[in-house]
Amino acid sequence: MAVMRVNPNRMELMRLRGQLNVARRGHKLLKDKRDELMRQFISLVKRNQQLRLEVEKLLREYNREMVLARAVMPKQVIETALYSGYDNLILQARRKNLMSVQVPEFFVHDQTMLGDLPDDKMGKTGKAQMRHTTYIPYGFSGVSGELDFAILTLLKVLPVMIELASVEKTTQLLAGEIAKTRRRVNSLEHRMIPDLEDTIRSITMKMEENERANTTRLMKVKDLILEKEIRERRSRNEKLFWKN
Amino acid sequence: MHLVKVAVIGDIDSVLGFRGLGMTVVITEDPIEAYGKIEELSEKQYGLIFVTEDLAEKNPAIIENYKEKIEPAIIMIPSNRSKKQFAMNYLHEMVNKAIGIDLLKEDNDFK
Repeated sequence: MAVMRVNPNRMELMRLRGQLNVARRGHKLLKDKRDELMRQFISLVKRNQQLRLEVEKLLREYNREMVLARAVMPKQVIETALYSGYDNLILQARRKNLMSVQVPEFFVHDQTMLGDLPDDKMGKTGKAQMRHTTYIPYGFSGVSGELDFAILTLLKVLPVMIELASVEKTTQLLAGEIAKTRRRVNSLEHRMIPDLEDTIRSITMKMEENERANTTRLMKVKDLILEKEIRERRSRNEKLFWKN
Repeated sequence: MHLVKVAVIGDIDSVLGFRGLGMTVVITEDPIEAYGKIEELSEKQYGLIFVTEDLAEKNPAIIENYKEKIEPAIIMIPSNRSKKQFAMNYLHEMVNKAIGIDLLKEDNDFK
């Protein structure tokens, strides 16, 4: 029970009633928003978990292959081989609006990178070969095949990692929005609306009280006036009586 | 629609291979330095930065400070020595905070 400090008059009462109306409507809307956000969040988070498990599995595989590669080649050879390429991986990023939360979405810009070559006539193996030859950034001489396998595994992880990135960022942003919305819903439900209701009740009660006080005061005044009148008449009557 | 670059930050054994895919590789094992690098990269139109779990675990600011920002997206990847699955636990914790129950744990029951 927390009554706001306002003057108990009709003006304030009307203002507070308006506020209470808005608060109730806002509360209902925000509650709906929270529920919908949660629904989206739940499906996203499941996808997120799947993707993360997959990325972890594939990266474990990559690490195993990398260990093999390191075992058969000196460190310098690997480093030189890998540093010979450019750092030119560019992604397309798009903003999506999910329940008025801005979320990013990443795509591979260079589609050929993932083996989606435009020519469909090449079979799967053709594509795979193409990928081998095109997207290994170093020359094959002097570098053992183990490193190729490691890099090819990484190529397999890349699309999954990019999807994971989109999904995980989205879940993070949604989680923040859910927390914010929930705080708003709770503060409306447990603080603002009860406070307004209490204040309105106390104002109505005070006003009724004032009215009763007014009535009694009027009655009292009426009594006083009547008494005075009676007394006056009585004295007048007495005077008349004695005159006669 | 715009273009972003991709970077990977971590210890040399875990991240070197990503250089082969054309990502920018930053090699560091110092969590503080890693955070500095992320700040640097985020000003240079890097929209997606992968960080190894080890670094993120040792310096929570890496994840927390970029949580509310749309870009760059900081995503954890396992390193070749992490066994603790920090990223997965972080996901569980996030779900727990957002909706009050750890939904992913129960998953096995009704899947």
